[in-house]
Amino acid sequence: MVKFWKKGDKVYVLDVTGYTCPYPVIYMKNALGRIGPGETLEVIFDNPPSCETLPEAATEDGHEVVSLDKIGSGLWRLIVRRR
Amino acid sequence: MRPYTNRSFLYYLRTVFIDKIFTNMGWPEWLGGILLALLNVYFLAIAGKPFTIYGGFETWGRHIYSTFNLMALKETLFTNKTSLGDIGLFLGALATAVIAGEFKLKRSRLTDYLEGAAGGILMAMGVVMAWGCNWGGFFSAIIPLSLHGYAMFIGLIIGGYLGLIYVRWRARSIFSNPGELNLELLEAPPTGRREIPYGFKVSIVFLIVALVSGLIYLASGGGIYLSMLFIGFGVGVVIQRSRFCFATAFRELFGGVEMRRAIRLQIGIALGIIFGATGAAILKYMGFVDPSVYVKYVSISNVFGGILFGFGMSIVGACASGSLWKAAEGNMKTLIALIAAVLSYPVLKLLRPTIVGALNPPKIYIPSILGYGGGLIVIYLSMVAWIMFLLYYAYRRGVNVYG
Repeated sequence: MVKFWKKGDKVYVLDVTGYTCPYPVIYMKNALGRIGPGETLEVIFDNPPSCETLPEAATEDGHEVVSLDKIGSGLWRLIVRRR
Repeated sequence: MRPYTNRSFLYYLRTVFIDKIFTNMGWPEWLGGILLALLNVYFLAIAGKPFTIYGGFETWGRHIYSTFNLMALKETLFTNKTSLGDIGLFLGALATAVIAGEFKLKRSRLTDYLEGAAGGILMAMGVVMAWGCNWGGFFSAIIPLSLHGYAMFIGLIIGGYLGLIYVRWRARSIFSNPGELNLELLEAPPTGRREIPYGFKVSIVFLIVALVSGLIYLASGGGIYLSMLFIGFGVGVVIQRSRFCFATAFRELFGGVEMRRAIRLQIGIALGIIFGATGAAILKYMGFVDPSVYVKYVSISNVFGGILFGFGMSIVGACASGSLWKAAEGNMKTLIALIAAVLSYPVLKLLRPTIVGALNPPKIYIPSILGYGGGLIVIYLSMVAWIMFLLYYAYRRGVNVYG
């Protein structure tokens, strides 16, 4: 199940673990559309190809990719700042 | 600056070499396509048939049904060449997923599992009608110069597009459920398990492969069967590393959110077909492989099979090889799709004589019409035209495919 919540001041988290392509990208685009400019979104995912496709999609839409970290075995966190 | 002065040689090797192979960013798709074609030709030379997937699923299904005396077993899973390739693929994908730290058990909801099962059955029906999956009906069909590969190709494009429409609808229905949108301060983000060192993971992988190889050697009674396992292993490694997803390639192609990757994958597939067809033509022309090998029936049935398969793989999120690869990464939905395909395919395959009876389709070997030179030229031109069309399409949409 997709989980989307506010973690703190201007920081949101989108948990798309369990989802494969293309859902992580679709949900990230959707979540980025729901937060304000300058706010950041942390995307937590476990679909390996998303390591490429999520930053690619975020950059394509003009958002800033802050970081991509491996936070565990088969688990990653992408931080995107909305333009 | 000498950044490695205080570091061991092992560390140096790891940073300049091993980390590049086991990166989470994936190998380029064009490299994946070419390597898969070369492994395919190698398999054709050794096994006398191209690398395919569903023959193995049929053998596995028959194993299950034969225990209940419902079907006879033709070959065992250790002597059927396709089955050995499939086992190798699974192990290869599992090995690199574990070493690259990408393995994780991924559970889904019941609706996802039902979707996976439905997709698996649709794919099995598609395979019955198209005389093969995305490998045996398309990639590994054009490579040994059989026309039936082109027919499924058309169907896959249509099925993939229908899959895209379905995926858009499904994404909307999931995200519009207000119960799943919680904008309150919630618990801390999930954290994963601690990473295990390379050395330990490599040892475990080596041990598993050695055990399975030993088992197959004993059960099949010959070393030649191990070659199928090892080529399959290579295919699994390449598929997992280059994220060679046929489902994405066909579903996302015309307007999907991962269109750039789909185009890169299609270019990889087309390059693979160019390399593979050249190799297969040499093997067949020189007489190492019989020209009739893997030349199958072609008719409108293959196009419809492609549509069913294309739609099925789109809703599962994985094709035949993709189900094996992603199940090896711990994806439960694709495992369900795999089980559904294994159980339904041997039963659905009983419909094939009816299709042949109704359509009386021909088997068309491309060189029998155009000769080997002419046949290869047509395959090259069609694949180059497809690549140019995709690049022009990307150009019109203002998308830098490799940017």
